[in-house]
Amino acid sequence: MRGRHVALVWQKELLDTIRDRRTLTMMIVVPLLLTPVLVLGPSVLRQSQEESQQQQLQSVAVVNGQEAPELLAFLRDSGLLRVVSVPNPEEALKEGRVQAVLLVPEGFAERLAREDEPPEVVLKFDISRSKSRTAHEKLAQLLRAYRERVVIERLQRRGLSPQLVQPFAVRSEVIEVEQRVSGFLLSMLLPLFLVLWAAVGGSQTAIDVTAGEKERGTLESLLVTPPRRSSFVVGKFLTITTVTLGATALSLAGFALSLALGKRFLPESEFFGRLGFALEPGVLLLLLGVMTLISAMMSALTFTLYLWTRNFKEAQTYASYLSFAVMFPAFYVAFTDPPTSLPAMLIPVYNVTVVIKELILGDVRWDHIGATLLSSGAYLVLSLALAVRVFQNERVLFRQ
Amino acid sequence: MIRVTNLHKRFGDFVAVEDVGFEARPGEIFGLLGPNGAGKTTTLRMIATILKPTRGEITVAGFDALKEPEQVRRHLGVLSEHTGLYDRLTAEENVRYFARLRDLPEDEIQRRMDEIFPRLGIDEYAHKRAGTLSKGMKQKVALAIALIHDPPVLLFDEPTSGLDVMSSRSVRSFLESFRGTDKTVLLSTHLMPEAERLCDRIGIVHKGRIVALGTVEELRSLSGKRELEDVFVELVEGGGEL
Ligand SMILES: Nc1ncnc2c1ncn2[C@@H]1O[C@H](COP(=O)(O)OP(=O)(O)OP(=O)(O)O)[C@@H](O)[C@H]1O
Ligand SMILES: [Mg+2]
Repeated sequence: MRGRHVALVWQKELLDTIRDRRTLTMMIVVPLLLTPVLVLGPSVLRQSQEESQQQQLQSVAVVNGQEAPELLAFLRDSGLLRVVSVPNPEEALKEGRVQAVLLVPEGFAERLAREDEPPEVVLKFDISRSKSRTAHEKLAQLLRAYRERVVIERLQRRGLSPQLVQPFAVRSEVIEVEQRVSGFLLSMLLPLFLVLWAAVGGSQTAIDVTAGEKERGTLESLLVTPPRRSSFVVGKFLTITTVTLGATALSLAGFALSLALGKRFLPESEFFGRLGFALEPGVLLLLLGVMTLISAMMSALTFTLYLWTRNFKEAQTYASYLSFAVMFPAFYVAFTDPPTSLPAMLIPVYNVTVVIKELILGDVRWDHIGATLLSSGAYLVLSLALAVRVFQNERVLFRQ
Repeated sequence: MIRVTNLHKRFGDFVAVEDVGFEARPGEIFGLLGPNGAGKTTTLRMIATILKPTRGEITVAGFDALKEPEQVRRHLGVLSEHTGLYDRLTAEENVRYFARLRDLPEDEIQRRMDEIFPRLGIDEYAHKRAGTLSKGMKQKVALAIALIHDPPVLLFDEPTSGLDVMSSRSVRSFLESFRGTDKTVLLSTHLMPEAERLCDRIGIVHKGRIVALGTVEELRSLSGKRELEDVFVELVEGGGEL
């Protein structure tokens, strides 16, 4: 291996990559534009839906309303629902013209006044419609409030204190947990993003410098030049790593952009609104180190894998298998409380995802970091050695 | 000079090259003529050190292909019908890349390009991306790559295959220009007229073996046939040696 040849190969492959529109799209458009859409999209949708539902008054059809004039007035005065009367309430509910139906039994007011046998009102709603669910919730809440009012009236009529049924008061307060809430949400999304980018960010380039050389018929021309095979392997490997790191950096930028946009335009959202997230420089440095290592490891691995394939198409099939293989542990770590025993922390990709998650939560576990760095380093060296061997294997290079 | 002795190549159980031996000398164009699947490409790849012989010896420009493959590659220029280019690099960038891999100094690269490009007409499209060039143009750039380091030994594997008449002519005339110089040229082809016109001596390859070897005249007189094509057909159909 010669430094000059490695640099030459690296330089050429990088130029070749930069001129490839497909790779550029993967590297720039997807992370910088798609990431904000992916991160912001659900919140924007949810918020606009919630807003419109809050503002919009749901209609409730009351059957036998004349039997409970006081309750009817209570519902109307709340201003939370629109009380309507329609000829065929159940039909209207099915068709979505009203969002809930309230059935008042015969003699409701009288029975309430007699205080003997409690009458029963029936609430009907359509669980498949979110508007109907909201109407049901509001209606149930209003009915509970009305019931409490009736109880208090009865107590007062008997000269008893309302405190009898309100032995204590409850008040909910939200405490300021900026770091933890946002850190928690980020700790689910970010490791996924970072690890996925490390796996797929450089795949186009990896395919191009391996299967691409075979398909174009440039591989033989390379092989008949004097440099050692290891120079080509290392040069190509460095190219893939560079592109992967570039793609990861851009996707991080896209992520940061999404968060900034979210905080600016969606302050109501509980995710973005309370975001006050910042990584300490030391932790950031560790994060970068871990990212570099996994990018390098994946680059060496994909190089070997794609070199073995015969053409672009075959390589692309393997690329999609690979991203699935990586997605599985990444999702697992992101959405569960993953085991962190020593053997588990030796599993490639998995361990890195765990460490990234911990680092984002501000939880610096040196034993985990150590196990991850050492094992990933070992996998990197092994993959590179394998790559050099494969690049010397004529059965792989001239597969028929 | 190329000297091949007792060369064998097996792919699994399949014998692609069997006991091939010949010598190509400086100043001559030596041809390997044979039908599809005869083992020509395999033989050339072994000489170019990118396939390992199962058995046998190869010497190129005085270097042993098995013991000093790097030296052999330094003294070799290769062009095959499958040779491709990097589509997103310009013609000139393609040539420069391979020249730099061969450790040529920058001024030497420029000097060689100034010499070769006009002769092949590449200077007209030197700054165009290779992906936009026609097959003939690409093949000329590939030829420039094979020649950029002025190697003493040249391997050509069906270099005109798939080219139009004009492009074939210019590749052939370049080949011919090496006759009588200090260069050793090995040409593999399945085209009879090409072999007849270009080669000083020919080895006819069939099923991995050299079944006849000599000048065109010698081959004709050996078989008593007037046309090389008849010699060839007799050998291939008869399956025997002369
Ligand atoms: N890497 C390989 N693995 C297995 N078999 C191979 C391999 N390369 C070549 N062969 C087989 O060896 C035989 C000789 O192939 P070769 O390419 O050397 O023939 P050729 O004379 O160049 O033919 P053509 O005119 O088609 O180029 C063929 O039958 C081919 O299928
Ligand atoms: Mg061939």
